[in-house]
Amino acid sequence: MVIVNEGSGTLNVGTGGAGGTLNAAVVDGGGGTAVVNFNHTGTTTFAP
Amino acid sequence: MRTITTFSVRGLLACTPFFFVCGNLPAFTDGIFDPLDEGDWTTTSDWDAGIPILESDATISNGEVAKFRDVGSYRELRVGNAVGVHRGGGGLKIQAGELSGDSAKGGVNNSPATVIVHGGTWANSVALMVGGPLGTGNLLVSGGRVTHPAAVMGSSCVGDLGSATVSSGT
Repeated sequence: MVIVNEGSGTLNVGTGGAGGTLNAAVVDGGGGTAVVNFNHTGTTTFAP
Repeated sequence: MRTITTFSVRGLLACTPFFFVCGNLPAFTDGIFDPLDEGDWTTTSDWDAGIPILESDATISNGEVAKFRDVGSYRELRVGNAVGVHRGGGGLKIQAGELSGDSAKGGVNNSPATVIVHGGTWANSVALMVGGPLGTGNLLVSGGRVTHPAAVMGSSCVGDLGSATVSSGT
């Protein structure tokens, strides 16, 4: 689970090359500002 | 680069086990990282009271980086802290091994923190807070594994900034 509370949160997947693996049941913006950047090569897989 | 922005998705605070306070937190004295330059977590002399153990808190806030490549533990870890002996930012670089504890906070009280995980495992059994309370935290995962039941970015206060980048690893 990844939560953004009252502040600001940025989640970056990859830095231009291969991305890593985010293993989280929930990514929640909460009460703040949340940004998710997908910046990687290859495919993006959302596995339940 | 594709960007997805989400605003106030839902108020999940009520069902989270976190109780954060916006303000100065009480100082604690055990396990302060204290070398004059970049040091090693498992070097006894790099800590004011010896290497932290599972029952002790650990603070890295002297502006230096603690490198980690072995086995270690703590109860609560603070990277960057404006309260206590050292009042500043801090860094942690995990290269191998396993570092574990209850919870970790990066960027406390306006003191920036950066944690880099190149390898090994960083495990927090209760919570991981990236950015805050009242600070900026960065987590860079370029290898290895970071595990936690819940990660909070941006903590509990307006202005808190949390950033996590996963370029490899999990």
